[in-house]
Amino acid sequence: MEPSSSLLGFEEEAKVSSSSARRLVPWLNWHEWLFVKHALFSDSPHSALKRISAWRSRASLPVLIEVTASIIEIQLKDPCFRQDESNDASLSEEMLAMLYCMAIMRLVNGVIEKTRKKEVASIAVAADAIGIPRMLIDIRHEGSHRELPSLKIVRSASIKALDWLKSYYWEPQSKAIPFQGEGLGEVKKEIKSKIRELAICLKVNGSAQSSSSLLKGKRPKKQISKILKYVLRLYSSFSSEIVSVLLEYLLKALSSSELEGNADDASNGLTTQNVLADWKLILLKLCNKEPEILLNLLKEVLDMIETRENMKYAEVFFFLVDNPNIGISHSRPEIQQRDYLSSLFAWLVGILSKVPSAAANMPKRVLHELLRKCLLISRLCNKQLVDSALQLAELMNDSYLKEKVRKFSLISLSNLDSADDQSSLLTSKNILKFEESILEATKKLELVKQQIMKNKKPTAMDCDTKKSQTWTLAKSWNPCPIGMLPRTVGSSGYLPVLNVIDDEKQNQLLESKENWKLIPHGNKRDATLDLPQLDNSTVKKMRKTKEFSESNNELPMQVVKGCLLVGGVLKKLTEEELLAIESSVRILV
Amino acid sequence: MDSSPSPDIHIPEQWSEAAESIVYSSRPPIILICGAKNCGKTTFSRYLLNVLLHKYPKVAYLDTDVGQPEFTPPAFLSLTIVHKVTPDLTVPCMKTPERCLFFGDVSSKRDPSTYLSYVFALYDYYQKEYCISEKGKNPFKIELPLIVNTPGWVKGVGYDVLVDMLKYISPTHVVKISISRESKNLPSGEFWLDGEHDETINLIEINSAHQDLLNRSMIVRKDARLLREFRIMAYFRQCICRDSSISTIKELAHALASHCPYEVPIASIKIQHLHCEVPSSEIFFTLNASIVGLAVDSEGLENLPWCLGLGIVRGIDMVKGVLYVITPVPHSSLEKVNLLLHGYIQIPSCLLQVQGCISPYMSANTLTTN
Repeated sequence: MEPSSSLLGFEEEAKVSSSSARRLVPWLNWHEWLFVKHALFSDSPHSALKRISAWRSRASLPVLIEVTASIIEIQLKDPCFRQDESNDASLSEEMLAMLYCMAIMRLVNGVIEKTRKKEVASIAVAADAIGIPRMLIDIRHEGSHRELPSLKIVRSASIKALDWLKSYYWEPQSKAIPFQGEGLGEVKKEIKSKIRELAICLKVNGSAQSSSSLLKGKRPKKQISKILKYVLRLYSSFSSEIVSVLLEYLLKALSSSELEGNADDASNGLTTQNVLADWKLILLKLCNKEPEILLNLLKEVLDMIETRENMKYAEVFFFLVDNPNIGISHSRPEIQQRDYLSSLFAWLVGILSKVPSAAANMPKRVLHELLRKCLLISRLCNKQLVDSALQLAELMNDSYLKEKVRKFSLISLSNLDSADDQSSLLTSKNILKFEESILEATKKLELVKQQIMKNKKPTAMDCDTKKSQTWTLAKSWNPCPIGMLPRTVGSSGYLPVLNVIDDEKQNQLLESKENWKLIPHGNKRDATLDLPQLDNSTVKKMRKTKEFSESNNELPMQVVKGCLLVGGVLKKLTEEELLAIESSVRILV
Repeated sequence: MDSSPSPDIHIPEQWSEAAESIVYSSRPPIILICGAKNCGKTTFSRYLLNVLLHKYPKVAYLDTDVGQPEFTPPAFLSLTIVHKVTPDLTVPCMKTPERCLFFGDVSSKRDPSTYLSYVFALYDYYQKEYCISEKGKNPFKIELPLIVNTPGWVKGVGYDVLVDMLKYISPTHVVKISISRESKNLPSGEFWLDGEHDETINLIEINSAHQDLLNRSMIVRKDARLLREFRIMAYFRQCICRDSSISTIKELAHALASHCPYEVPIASIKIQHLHCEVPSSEIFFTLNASIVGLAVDSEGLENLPWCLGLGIVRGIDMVKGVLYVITPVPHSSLEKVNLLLHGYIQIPSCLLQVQGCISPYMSANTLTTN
């Protein structure tokens, strides 16, 4: 009975030999491997030994790693190598010698048996070919056929064995890892060069087609698809690098065109299109395969706009504190800065509508979230952002939503008209008027909130009739490779973080959390100066969601029970963040 | 005897005679089939199954070959009740066993004592349900014959395990299949009885089916590992609904990557590693992208984790605290599952390296030490 796959309903497949042969390994990514390597040869290899014992249960552990772990574990039990005193149940010399001997035997057998052909070469010859120290071969022979070698001999042999293992396996393998992350600078360089290549190829392709020379057209196309595949493969582990590199290029293109002096507002939109025309094709190709790139770009641009707005207002605020009664007039360069970011956003939304797969497959709530953020950041006075919001609403095919956004855009128009005239100057008269209008708006908001709460109540009742089941089908699922977790959009998946934390460590973490750069508030503020639209504490850091693909294995993740739905994604928040959210509830006037 | 065997299989006369003698016994027989690797035990057992089904409405099959089980994926010990004749003796088919236990390895070498305890537990279950009890308590119980299939490991530890099994089960018939190379065979006669002779046991010694002109057994070599991988893939193929046409491994891999998995909170599940010790901080590193047995942890006297099937843990979300599991076990039965058993069974690597959904565990830059 031949093992034919057709037996079980599978067609015979032609074996495709890939250029980069892949092997099953027990580690999730090279980061994990590097962590183990680093810890194994350090002073306290316990964490590495634990991880290797976990790898052992996956049954695809390379024998060289296993042997290295054995030798290091034995050395831990050897008082000669251990600096600390604790001698609970120390082994006798005979036992230690036996352990070392066995480890060395396994090393020699494990390495050589695979590489030699039994009839052709003897063990000694095969060992020479690889470079194993002769001492190890002799110990193996002694141990299996004669007396147990002495402890001193096997001890020094273990040191030699470790050195040899380092030179034979650990160092060469770590050199073979792509983008060994010292900084992510190397990765960025690689991505930049690839994207430049892609740009050139696309240009050549485009011009070749127009000049209708068939020969030239073939090679760029293949190369284009090769580069695309390469970049997309990088995406699953280095997504934010790719996004930031693309953003850099786009902004550079825009700002270089600004410097050339096209400061005319009316033609701003046209210039964006022209300047970024080259990039359009690149983005279209990338986003066709991986729609999440576009989503991340959009989010990044929005965040940049938000940051700039906040910084501007903070500057203004401090300026005013020192010099009250001076009016704020929007200076020209600031408008321009804000504008070209907004036009970039508008252009990106335009691309989103052109990429058919992206718009169709993106889940509604993602687009919804983007739309909401866009409106918030626009503060209804950034016309381009509001228009983009309208476009996003159109993409979602939801007429009710479109109506609501349209109403917002009307309000924004009226805002813009009033923004430029003299009454926006913050004289003391105007401040009082602003205060009154804010109070009115607060009251209206309260009424609206109460209405919504009333409507919500009856539906809250029927939640607990549902039986709680342990095994439930996941509510939504994006395809992703086995071993990864799905992303919101696209099918590349991201790497999970699998560390387990116990509670003591958790408390430590809460204290030493990375510092949120809160813009200072409260202390300096004068109670009477109730400036509208002043952002006192922002929650923009929410966007730095813990991209698991970047996370360092050394930084364990918190598994806190309390999670909030922020930005459409379930995130864990610390107390500081919760306070930050509380204090920054804004009121749209 | 028209059991309509497949055209490729040749049933020698010795075999059909043996089968007939078994069938014509008055009481439902308990038959144990043993022999060296690749001698034809499974084929004979299938043939015998068909023959018995002509006389009895149902036949029980106790499969103790964890490396190549008959009706389940590898690493299972199972008791299956068969009522349909297998028309083609070459095609293995999946059936849901009456009871099964997940052993977690493809041979008993790592843990023969647990292996034996599982075999005995399944046999006891058979005795309780389908055999006449001596005190005659329940006269309406249907008596079923039992076929016991064994692995082909007949030397060393495997031999000892086989002897223990024979002593415990005390079958009515023992079919010993020999190949021409005497050194590979089991000892002749009733080797497990230490010299005593038991009247009630019929020992039938037959030879393997194919023999060449010099009377040497022609053994068909099987790539056991490949067969196991195909078995596992066929098992998980059942997750995807029957209508969708999946005919290549590539399509199956894509389908499994997009299949919506079950979500189970980590807190409501116990995890047990069957053959190695894993520190508690590293549990999830072993579970991610691995195959687990789905078992019910009962606090009963037997304390045996009866198993319902296999699942692939295709992702772990530590933030939400859930495991994502793909399994063909029906949802209604899944509710009982509260124990995951992790053994040495791997996801076939051909499912993990399909273009477009390459698992992170298939790494491209590994050094080949050659």
